[in-house]
Amino acid sequence: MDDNQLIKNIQNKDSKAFQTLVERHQTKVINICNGFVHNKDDAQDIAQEVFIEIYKSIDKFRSEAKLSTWIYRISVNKSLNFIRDNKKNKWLQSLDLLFVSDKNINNNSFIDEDKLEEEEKTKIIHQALNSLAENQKIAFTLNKYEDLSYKEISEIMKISISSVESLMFRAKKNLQKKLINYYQKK
Amino acid sequence: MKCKEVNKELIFYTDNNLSKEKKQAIENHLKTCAHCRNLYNVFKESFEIIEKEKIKELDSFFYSHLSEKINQIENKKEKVIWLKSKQVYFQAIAASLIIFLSIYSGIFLGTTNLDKSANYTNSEDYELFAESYNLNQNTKSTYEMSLLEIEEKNK
Ligand SMILES: [Zn+2]
Repeated sequence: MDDNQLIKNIQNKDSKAFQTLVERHQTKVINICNGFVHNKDDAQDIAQEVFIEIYKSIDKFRSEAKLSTWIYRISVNKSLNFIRDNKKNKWLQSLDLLFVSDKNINNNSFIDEDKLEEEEKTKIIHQALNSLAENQKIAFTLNKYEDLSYKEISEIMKISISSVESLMFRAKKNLQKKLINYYQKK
Repeated sequence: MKCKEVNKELIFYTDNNLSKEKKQAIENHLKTCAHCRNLYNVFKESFEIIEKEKIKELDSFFYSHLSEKINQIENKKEKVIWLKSKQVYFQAIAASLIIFLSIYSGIFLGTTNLDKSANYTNSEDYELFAESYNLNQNTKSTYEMSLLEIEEKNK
């Protein structure tokens, strides 16, 4: 069943069609969300919100647009909103941390060196990604976390393909600078 | 190629974005320079970390969890619709009750009035009817008139 037929069936309240849509797109949506928030549980929660939004507004979908473009755009928006809301709550969390006793902190008596190194490296790349300007981050995440083509990204972001190319170039340049800075200081 | 030049291109080399010639030049440099090789490994590992983060297989719990949430939303919606329709239903009942009562009482009042005036055809009954509505009460002047008549008769 192609996407247009799928949408028609969902608009006619066919729940099986909605399940097909979810199963067709869920891993892509989760990967995009995870590319922004770098937390599997949060990514799942945001992805659920994405599909609820799709369910609620499927009647508004016009078939001139590609279904996946629409779904990925909602995924990007929900993820960015999540990050913004999280930032707002960050000062509250930091306040919480003041009252947490440090008995939990030195709990790991068996430290797996390799795992620690891997975790450290993961943290560094995430930090570098988070420091990117929002548009660069969107383009990079869509291209690297979901292998979307520059054409697809340009449709999702509503910009030209050459703009996507330039965003990708700058994103990589900035990541390169951040990573070299970090590892050369070490 | 010098290290500084290589460092500027390493991420593009790692991501396979370079022309054949540039790629070859960097490859040659990496063979002889441990420092740049280390940096290259940093980029390679970073891209691998991203690749590892991706999920590839379908999680069947995702849809069941989602459909639960959607059912909750739908139930809420139905409740609201049901309450609204109940509201409309009660309003309709109340309105029809009022209309029914007013029509019924109108007919009832109308028919009793008609009964009263239509059925008292003989005078005796009329007297009763008139009494009940105070229709027979004499005004002062007519009462005086009748007294005068009695006096005159007595003369
Ligand atoms: Zn070098």
